[in-house]
Amino acid sequence: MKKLIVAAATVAGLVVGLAARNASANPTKLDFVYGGGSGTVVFIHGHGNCVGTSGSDARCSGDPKAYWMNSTDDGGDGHDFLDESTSKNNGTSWSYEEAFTIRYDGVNQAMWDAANDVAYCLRDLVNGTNATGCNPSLYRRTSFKIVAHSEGGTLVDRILSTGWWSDVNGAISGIATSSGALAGARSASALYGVDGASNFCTTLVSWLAGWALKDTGNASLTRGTVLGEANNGKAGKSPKWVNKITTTGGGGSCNNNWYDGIAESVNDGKMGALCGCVGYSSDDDTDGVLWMYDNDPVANTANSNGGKYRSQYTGYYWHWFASWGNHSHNRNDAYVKKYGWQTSSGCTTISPGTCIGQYL
Amino acid sequence: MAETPARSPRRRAPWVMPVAVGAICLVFWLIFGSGTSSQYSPSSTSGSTKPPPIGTMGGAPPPPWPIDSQSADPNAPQPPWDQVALTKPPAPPPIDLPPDTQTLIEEFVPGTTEWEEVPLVESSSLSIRILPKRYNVVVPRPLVVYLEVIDRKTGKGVAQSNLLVRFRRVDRPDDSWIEAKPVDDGTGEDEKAGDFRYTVTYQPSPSEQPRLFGHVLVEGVVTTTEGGVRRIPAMLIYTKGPRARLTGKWRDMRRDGHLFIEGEVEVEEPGFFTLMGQLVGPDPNRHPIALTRDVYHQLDQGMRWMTLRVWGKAIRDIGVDGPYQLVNVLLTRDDAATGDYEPAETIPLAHVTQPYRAADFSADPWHEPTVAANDVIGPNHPSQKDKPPPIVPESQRDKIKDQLGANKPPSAGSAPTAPPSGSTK
Repeated sequence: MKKLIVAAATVAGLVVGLAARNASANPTKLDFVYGGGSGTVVFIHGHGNCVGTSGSDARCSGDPKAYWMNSTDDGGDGHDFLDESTSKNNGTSWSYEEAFTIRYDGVNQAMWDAANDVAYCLRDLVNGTNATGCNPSLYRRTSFKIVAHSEGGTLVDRILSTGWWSDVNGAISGIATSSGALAGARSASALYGVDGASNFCTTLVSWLAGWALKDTGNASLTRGTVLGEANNGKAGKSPKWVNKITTTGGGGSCNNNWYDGIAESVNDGKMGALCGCVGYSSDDDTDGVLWMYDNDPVANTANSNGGKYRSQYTGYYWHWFASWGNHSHNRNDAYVKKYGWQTSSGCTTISPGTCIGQYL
Repeated sequence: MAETPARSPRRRAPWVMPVAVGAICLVFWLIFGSGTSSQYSPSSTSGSTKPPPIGTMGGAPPPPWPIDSQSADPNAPQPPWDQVALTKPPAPPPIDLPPDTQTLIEEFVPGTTEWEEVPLVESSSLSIRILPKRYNVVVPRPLVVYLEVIDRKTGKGVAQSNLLVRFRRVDRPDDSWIEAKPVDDGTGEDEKAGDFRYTVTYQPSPSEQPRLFGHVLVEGVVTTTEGGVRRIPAMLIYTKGPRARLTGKWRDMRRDGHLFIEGEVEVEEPGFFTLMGQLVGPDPNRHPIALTRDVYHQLDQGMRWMTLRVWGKAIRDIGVDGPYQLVNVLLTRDDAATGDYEPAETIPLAHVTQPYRAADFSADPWHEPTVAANDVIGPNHPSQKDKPPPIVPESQRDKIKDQLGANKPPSAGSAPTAPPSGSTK
């Protein structure tokens, strides 16, 4: 009897251990947004809480497309980044890839915990399981591309670099990061600690409320933190090419609307203010949230089409192109209706989704 | 808002409104524009409501007030021409090294990080900076943090009288902080007295340690008359180590054209471990060759071996002969379930190999394994046929393109056909 009890306890312990290994800390949601027959793309959003828990953003919590589109709140024009990024123009027709989105909580937990959540949700997608609760429909895809924006890029780099989820890494057939915070974000430290520091910068960037608060996610995205993780091998070691969409730098790339009026402009002036407040130079990859080397790190500049040199980024980071779109617009392609969609001849880098759809 | 008085209450001269707008803009510039000087702000603030062209001193950002979309200047220069012309971004080349081998351009040191810096206040040249001396802190090492305020114009530290550093676990926002006062007197791990680099050397007590094990949020707090209370964050990892240790016993061999380096590990507690090292050439040049890793390797308790493989081509391409040195070696206990890991101390020089020649190694590239198309499970797989459909089915997407005008060229005049002269960035 005693042996039976011990055996049962051992089995129970193993079950708990396995379950713990597969469980995510905070909820994640996988949504099947666009249908398509030419492949699958999974989109990972940036800093924010899009799963409806404490501190969540109502817009992206309520709609899996919301993070990636011009909403009606800020001059919506009916299109979204997901559609451009999964459409390919063949001259006389279009072909389409599927678009899945993963929503996670990037506010109430450090980025490494968010990366875990996303990784386990991706594993559920690879296996057609629902161990995390993100995949109740048990969708299964054993091959897909990843497109990530801002903090999403940091999470994807961690998943790839740690190698802790080799099955997920094996399923990824292409990666693009749009303003990915691959080497952290200066804004994370610049806007940290609003209390006792009511100042010019923080009062003007209410859109970036997630950055202006001392949330756990923000604290884990500082440059020192991400670079420390990279030195430990937990970032900067991607075994697959990460196609980086960076920013052109220059004042226009912060406050796009100042130079070229656009419907989605609620955030533009504020991002321009942030550039002006915290320091700016024409050498920066400045997009109002990230600047200086953050989204374009690479160790091997000679063989990576350029990039910003960082010794610990020994993995594969390709300087794909720079977009004039600022941190808001390079997740929603605000200029696509003005300057056009992709064609069989090319894409417009001001709307990065057109290039992802045509060439990733 | 101030407004130029009208010539008459009922009929204004045509020049009044532009003058009024200009005056309003000038007021805003005087209030906001001159107060945002920083290391990077241009000195040529001419009073214009438009920023100076990019490429001049600092490439000024636009005025830092929200811009209503309706007030955008139709005569403002468009974005760079190459942003709106059709283009094909360059694709990367094939990868010819496996995941366990990456080209090393320059050594980096595991367990360290870089200075974090933010302006103290926006209108001065002072910056607050913080750096954990060690990013990986293994008991019994203390937590050591440097905090300073520097003048960006001179690069020198500025004396401070009201500083504090505090610590707590980053994932326990409700936990109380552990506070420590930094010193600049050469005691503890303060490197030099009187250099205005203030140092905290804090040894957590046995009761404090469990509250801190893991990722620790570090906060530097600087209080000044001009800035009030300002805070700057940093991070470090505090652990008891990986509960495994490299014993110092290594062996190396050439096999199948590649270099294998094996290290003995004494494992106290079973788990998953990653071993990472950097291969460099012999002294004095110590030419960097490759980063090599054995990732997430499961080890049982006892004496075990971990293997680092350096793909031959990486050595052959560099063309540097051995004996090679394995440096900057880091062993970590990894927990993918939590995202936490427990690093050991970094080993500056772990092993020196036999005197191989670079030409002894294979020049063959690595080829990524491909998955047969039939083995890919996608939307058309039988197991996926009855799943809930997407929000937008594929059949509707052409119609959406038509509705959005995606099949028509952009409106005439919106996309320049050639780069305009003097286009701004």
